[in-house]
Amino acid sequence: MLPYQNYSMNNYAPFQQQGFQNGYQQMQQNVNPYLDRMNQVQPMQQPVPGLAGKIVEDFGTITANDVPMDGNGAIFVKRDGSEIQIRNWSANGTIATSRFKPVLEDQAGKLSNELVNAPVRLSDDVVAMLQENFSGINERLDKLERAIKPSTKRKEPGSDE
Amino acid sequence: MNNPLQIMQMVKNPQAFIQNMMNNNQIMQNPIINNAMQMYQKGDMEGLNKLAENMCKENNTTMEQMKNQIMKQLGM
Repeated sequence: MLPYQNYSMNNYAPFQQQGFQNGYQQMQQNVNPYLDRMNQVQPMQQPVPGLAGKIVEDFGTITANDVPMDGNGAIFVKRDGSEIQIRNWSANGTIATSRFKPVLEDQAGKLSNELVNAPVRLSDDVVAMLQENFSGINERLDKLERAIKPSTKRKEPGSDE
Repeated sequence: MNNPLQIMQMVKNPQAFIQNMMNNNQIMQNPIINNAMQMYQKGDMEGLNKLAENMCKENNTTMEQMKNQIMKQLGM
């Protein structure tokens, strides 16, 4: 065996291992600050989808571009609070608008009283039908009365008998 | 669809473009596109025309003006 072959790998291995370990430790030390910074940063959260829309002075200023085409629609509130509109693109290419108006508390009571006291009105057709039915009922009652009391003479108004 | 490259792709190979769109779930969630695709598949050109007219009306424009704008973008 040649002398140089007596060199065992172990002589080199510790250096290599040490070197590697030192290097690895150095790497860790270098990486750690970044890790710490990342830990300090809050974990990324998924953004919560917000409502589309805006507060407007007049609903006439709203354009088609203000309404998103994702199907969720947009809410538009009038600045004075008198009306809210929800606009949405429909499948046929038009914008559908839903209007909401507030019912104030003092008006709510008035509305219910008005509804309670409102006279019942029927259409002319319904009235004509009811009158026809009533006259039919009257005729049948008269027939029944005559059938029950056939001998009873009917006194005509204005007669002396 | 403001990207001129996408418009060129659509003009060159409309079938592939439409197929790509149909495979995209996010796009197909859009009710207008969904309806348009269904009408296209059924061959309902009248319905597609009406859809385009309605959209133009909502944007205060006409089909003719829209067509001219697109042609301008394509440099024709």
